[in-house]
Amino acid sequence: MTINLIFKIAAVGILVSILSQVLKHSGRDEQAFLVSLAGLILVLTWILPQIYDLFMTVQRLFAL
Amino acid sequence: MDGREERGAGMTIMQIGAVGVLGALLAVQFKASKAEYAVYVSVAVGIFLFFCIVQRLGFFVDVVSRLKSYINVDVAYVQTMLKMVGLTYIAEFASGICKDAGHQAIAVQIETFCKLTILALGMPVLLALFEAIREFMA
Repeated sequence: MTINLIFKIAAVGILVSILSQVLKHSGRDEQAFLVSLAGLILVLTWILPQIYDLFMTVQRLFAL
Repeated sequence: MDGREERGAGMTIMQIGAVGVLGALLAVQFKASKAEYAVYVSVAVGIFLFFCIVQRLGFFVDVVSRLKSYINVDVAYVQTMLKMVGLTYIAEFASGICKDAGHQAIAVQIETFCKLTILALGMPVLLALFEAIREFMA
């Protein structure tokens, strides 16, 4: 978990936002939706292992 | 696993503050258009700061486990206290994220569960106390 992950998430967010705007304006609504969904899933696959790490570390540290 | 020791290594309070503010500003930027990314950014920043906390906490937990041998307290009590601290931290982190995402109800449930668990952890200590008092009086 370095600070790069935060920037990656922000970059994906901005990219998805721009792409979905462009697609919506050119009338392809479903593709816009798919792009935002893809971005969501990508960010989730980055975040979920970190959350798991967090809980495991707390469990290990406090002997819960 | 090898990068784990490097996480948050040697962060000063200035850097922590800067990262926190930066994360908050980034999240604010997303709140208008893509609200879910605001939540993800804040979760990521929270986890990053947590790993910096763990760095500092490592020494503390070490000292506590060494103090256990000096002070004539039953090991179980110190262990229980440590568990309570960990419980509180996790519950606050999780409920904070839920509140930030706008779901106060879920956050309240998490906090209630945390309080009840801490109560349940403390019950044996209370019972031991009453036992000791009873033995004292008898």
